[in-house]
Amino acid sequence: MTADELKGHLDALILATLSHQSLHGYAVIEALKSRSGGKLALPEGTVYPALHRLERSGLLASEWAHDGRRRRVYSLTTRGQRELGLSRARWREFTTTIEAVLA
Amino acid sequence: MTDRDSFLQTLGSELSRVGFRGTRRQRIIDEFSDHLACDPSAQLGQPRVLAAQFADELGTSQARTAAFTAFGALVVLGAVLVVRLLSMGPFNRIDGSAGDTLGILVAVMAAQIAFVSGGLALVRGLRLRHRRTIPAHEARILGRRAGVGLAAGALATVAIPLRAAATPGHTPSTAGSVVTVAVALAAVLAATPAVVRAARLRPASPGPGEDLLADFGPFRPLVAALTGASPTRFALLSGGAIAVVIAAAGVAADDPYDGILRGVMEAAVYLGAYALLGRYLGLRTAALAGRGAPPAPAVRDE
Repeated sequence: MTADELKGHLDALILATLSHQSLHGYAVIEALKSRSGGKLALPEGTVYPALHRLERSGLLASEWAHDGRRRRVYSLTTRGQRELGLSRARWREFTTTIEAVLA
Repeated sequence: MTDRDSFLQTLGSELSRVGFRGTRRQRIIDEFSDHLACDPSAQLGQPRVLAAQFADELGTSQARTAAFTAFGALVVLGAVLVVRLLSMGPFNRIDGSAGDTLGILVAVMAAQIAFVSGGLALVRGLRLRHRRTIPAHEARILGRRAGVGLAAGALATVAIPLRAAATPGHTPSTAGSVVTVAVALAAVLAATPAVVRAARLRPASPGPGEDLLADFGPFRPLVAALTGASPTRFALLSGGAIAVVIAAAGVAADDPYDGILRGVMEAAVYLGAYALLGRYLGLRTAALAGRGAPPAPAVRDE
């Protein structure tokens, strides 16, 4: 899947990745790759601006952690959980509609 | 210098170039540094492109924050000025001297520019609130509207009490004026950092420019039909309407000379402000069109 195809879904993917646990930027990208079986060909650097934007929007929170290295760890806020729920519902509705037409 | 150090140094320069400073800039560099420590061969992309992406994505939210914060400050400022004006009674009768007319003009013009500009910032900010990134000049317009609103609000805050104090036979309490100015200026100062942060960032996201008519949202087709999709025609029509309403109010109050004078002055101030700030505040798109994408096509109801 190319970066263009991912456009518009990146926010939901990041929120979903962080719904299980708090992660730092590199771990978010690795989790996206592993959970997609390596099919999400994401330009790695582009995830960071999205993380900062989602945090500014109040969907993520972050803090410095020190586990041998100083790194910024992101977690989902209550608003982020709500937004993730909405994104999932929208996605299901979208895929159901497209499936109905394609089937 | 290693590739990693070179990348981080270039990224820092590029972040500075697009307006990131201080802790935000350092945080971004630290995060990329950590990423490269985890995977030295990571393909993070071009520093220039990454910095531009940060500016586009954060510039959008910062421009919206600036617009909403400025409008909030102007609401506080407006509330304290209205309370103060009501407690002072009428003081703005024009006595005909040049200094007097100028004083009234500054006070009235600044107050009106503040609320029109702040209101327009709010309207456009709300209209663009669901967009992940907005075109660079839309972000600039939001910042300008917020900044002009705050600057004019600060001017009105000082000018109105001064004008009242200078009115012969009018003796407003000094303590009341000081409290009014202090509260209003505190609101302006509280909103200023958000506007400055938005102004510092230099997003570059392309996109069509929009004018005053876009701010009418669902009423745009109606306004466009009435004005031939011309913001200038809208300004002329609404300026004329303002003059007529104020003059009529003067006539109804048995003071036609004062009413007509006020009506003409209001219309002149309104149109003067439009001529002076129309392009800067994105009411007209001509100046913006040259900076990036062409302006949005005019809407015409045939």
